[in-house]
Amino acid sequence: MSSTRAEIFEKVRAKYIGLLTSILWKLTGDRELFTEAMQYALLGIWQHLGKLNSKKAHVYIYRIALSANSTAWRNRIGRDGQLSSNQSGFEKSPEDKLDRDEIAILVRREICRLPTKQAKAIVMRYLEQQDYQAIAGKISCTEASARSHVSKALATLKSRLTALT
Amino acid sequence: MKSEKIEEILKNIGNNDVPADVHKIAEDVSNDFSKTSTQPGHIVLGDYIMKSRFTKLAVAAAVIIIAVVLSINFWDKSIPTASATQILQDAINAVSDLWSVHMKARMRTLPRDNFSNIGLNYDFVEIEMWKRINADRQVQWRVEKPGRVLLMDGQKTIMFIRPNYGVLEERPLPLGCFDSWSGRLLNVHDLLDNELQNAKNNPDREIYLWHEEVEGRDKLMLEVEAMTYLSEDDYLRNKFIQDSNHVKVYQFDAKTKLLEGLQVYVHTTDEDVLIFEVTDIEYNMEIDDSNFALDFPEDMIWHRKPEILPDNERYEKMTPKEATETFFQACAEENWEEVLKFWTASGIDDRLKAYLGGLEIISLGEPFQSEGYSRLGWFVPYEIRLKSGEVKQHNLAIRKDNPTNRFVVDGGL
Repeated sequence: MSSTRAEIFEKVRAKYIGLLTSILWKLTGDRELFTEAMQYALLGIWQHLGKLNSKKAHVYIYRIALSANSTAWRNRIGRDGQLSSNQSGFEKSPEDKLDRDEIAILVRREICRLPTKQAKAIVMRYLEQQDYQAIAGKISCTEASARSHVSKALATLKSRLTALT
Repeated sequence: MKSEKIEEILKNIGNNDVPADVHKIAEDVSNDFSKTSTQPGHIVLGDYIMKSRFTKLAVAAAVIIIAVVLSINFWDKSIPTASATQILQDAINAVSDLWSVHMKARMRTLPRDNFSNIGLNYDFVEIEMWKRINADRQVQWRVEKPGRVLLMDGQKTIMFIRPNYGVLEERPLPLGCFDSWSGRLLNVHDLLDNELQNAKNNPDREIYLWHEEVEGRDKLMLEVEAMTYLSEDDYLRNKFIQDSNHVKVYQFDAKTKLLEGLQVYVHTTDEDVLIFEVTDIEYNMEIDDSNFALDFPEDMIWHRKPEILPDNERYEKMTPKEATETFFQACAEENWEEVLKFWTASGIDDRLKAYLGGLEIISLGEPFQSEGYSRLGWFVPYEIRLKSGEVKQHNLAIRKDNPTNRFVVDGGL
């Protein structure tokens, strides 16, 4: 590894660690998942240093965070996000008993399965509490498109949540 | 909770400030990564992730414990209260380098039933559990009771219900899957960490910690109460550990701080019933490879997800009672093709055919639901006369939370 690459990594790390921590904590809400997602995010930064040393770095940071979050969740729950039931006794699925915390876990889990742009938009809008103008700027689309991404993401989440509860 | 509240849930998630210990975890992970990735000569990032997945919990848990303020009552005044968190931290540190665990326990359950199924009047059934990190750094584990085995060999997860029923997932699932409550005990880190998190999130929850001498050895005992949200008259109340009000009593060796035991007592109006007890724990021992492999009989029947039927709509329209009647009537007529429409398996086992074939429906009661079960699931009271002459009264569990939107039998036979 060249020292230049190490220096760039340190610079990017210092600049975005706060943002990454905030996004990943809100997306995971769980220290074990968070730790794992953070590891994958750092690996993502390392692998995409070139893009993160450009003007569009903030866009890639969100992509890296969402990808890292998805990988961490997938490691925990499996690719399709479901645990199986069996036939013999009545097996209570993970969705059988839903309290407020469990619903939040389901929502977080479903966010990581949204299409990339919708996931970015929903994270920026609700988890980072940004306005649509800022979201549009960051994901390079019109304000109307940003609203559309958020709206579609909400509809998808509602639909999936309804199916699960 | 209504799905309309999704925006509110998202806002609440967004309003979550990052706790101080999480910032510390981020900093530690980040520094660790930075040091690893900037080592000259060899950069093994994939390896870093692999290693960290097995060691990170110790770091995270230790950080958490420092930050946690517990409501702890000390019964033994010889231990200063201020050292309570330190004792718990020591317990987590003591298991931070584990690469294998072997646990024996006993539980009031049915040998073939769900792993977390309990009955206050049931006899004790032996449970044995193994977990290890193998030479390829894969986690492997096995949870077993006489009629049921749950195995994750690092690649796939299998639940084997003796003699010949199996559920196969071609991926590693976490401990606790298939409702294997006791399996979670193998994750000693998580076990302790979860208790601490629960204590932190529920300030009113009581935790007691005290010294006790057991067989001449000094022990630390940690007692934690857990409450169910199910009402007293709910059908599933006290049928699963998590659906009961219970107390967990952890036992640590005072010197090594290793977890050495756990007892679970279910509270009833009259008494506390011992429902689960760890009888032996070994750490870092060699576990034979054969423990992480299973042999199956030739007449194996595998779990299969329900598929859309050509006349699926007819079954979708059925009420819980109609579905139950159709199922039992098919059994009565020994129409196994019809029975299979309600059965999520590759076939109907001959033993089941012999048991249910030719039955007579005596009566069906009014279906009811439980807060502890699927919202698309019902229990239908039934009374049937089996071909053997035996009369059986029970509640058939059926549910339609599957893509076919028709009822399938989930238990209660």
